[in-house]
Amino acid sequence: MNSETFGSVDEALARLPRALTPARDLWPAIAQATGPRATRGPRWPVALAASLALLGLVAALSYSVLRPQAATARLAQDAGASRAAKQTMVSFESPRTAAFISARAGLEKTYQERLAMLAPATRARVQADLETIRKANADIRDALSRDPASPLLQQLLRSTWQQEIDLYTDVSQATEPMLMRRT
Amino acid sequence: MVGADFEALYRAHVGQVYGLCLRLTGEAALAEDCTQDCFIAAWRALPGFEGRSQFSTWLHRIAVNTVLTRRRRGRGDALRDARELDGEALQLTDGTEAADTIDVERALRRLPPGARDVLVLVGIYGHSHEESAAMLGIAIGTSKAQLHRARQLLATQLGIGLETA
Repeated sequence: MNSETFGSVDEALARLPRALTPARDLWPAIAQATGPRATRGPRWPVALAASLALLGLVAALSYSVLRPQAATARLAQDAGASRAAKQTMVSFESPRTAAFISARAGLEKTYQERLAMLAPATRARVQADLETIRKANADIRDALSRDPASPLLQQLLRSTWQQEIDLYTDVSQATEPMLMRRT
Repeated sequence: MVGADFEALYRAHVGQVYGLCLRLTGEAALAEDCTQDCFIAAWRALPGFEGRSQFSTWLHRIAVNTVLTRRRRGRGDALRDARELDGEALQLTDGTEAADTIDVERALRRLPPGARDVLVLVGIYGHSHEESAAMLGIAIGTSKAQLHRARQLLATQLGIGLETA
């Protein structure tokens, strides 16, 4: 039976999800255990905390408004593949490299070209999300200027780069079927 | 209040850390405890994180260490070979093909702990043998041998080949 389901051990392992969901929320106990120490940690601006809180919502919101459009067309699957390929191209470990800068610029250009193809409400949502990401990026960089060795801030900064690229590629993916219909 | 920044990191990584702990321990409640301990330990160790490795690799190292510590204390023995998979314990984030993947998870649980540890780290989470060996406190050659053994055992259990034709 499994030989029909999986061609090999490698294939079987590749299909396993890396992330699993615990049955209960583990955060409250962690927050309790780390709370007193947290108050002694670096004090970053309230604006940064607010930005980060909003940033956490961005991916889900963009996804919710963009993905249904892409999912309506079979072509979206191909677009998804190209998206994955683009993301693979972009190395987030070396965001200052020429390859990253070039890939990011290409994605941003496509994003700018395709933004007008979105419905007004979707476009407004996407633009607001991008603004949130950029503000979080600016706030984190500001905090890093005061606490440059913070690995946490560095990690968060990388996450904003990732989210910006994700947003560009989501727009690209969502508009791919519209482009195909035009041609 | 714990900073929203650390909670954001927790939310971003908890799925993988819990998945790793569940596969290493074979028990949901123990995996949850290990996941909590891992993030608490990570918080304490955070000032020492120098960014030489990826944050996720650093976190996984702490998770593995937490699991191994529990094992040594005897509170969590991952060797529960014949135990049936608790369907509630394994809540896949992606519900598709759940039945197929549960077969594989069951087979994973039946592997000897040493072989399973390496298979989980290298085969599922994509760590190198160098990383796997460092995390588990074994030689690189041992990691390679355990992976070979684990893949063979898994192939036998699942009735499939080792590699895609």
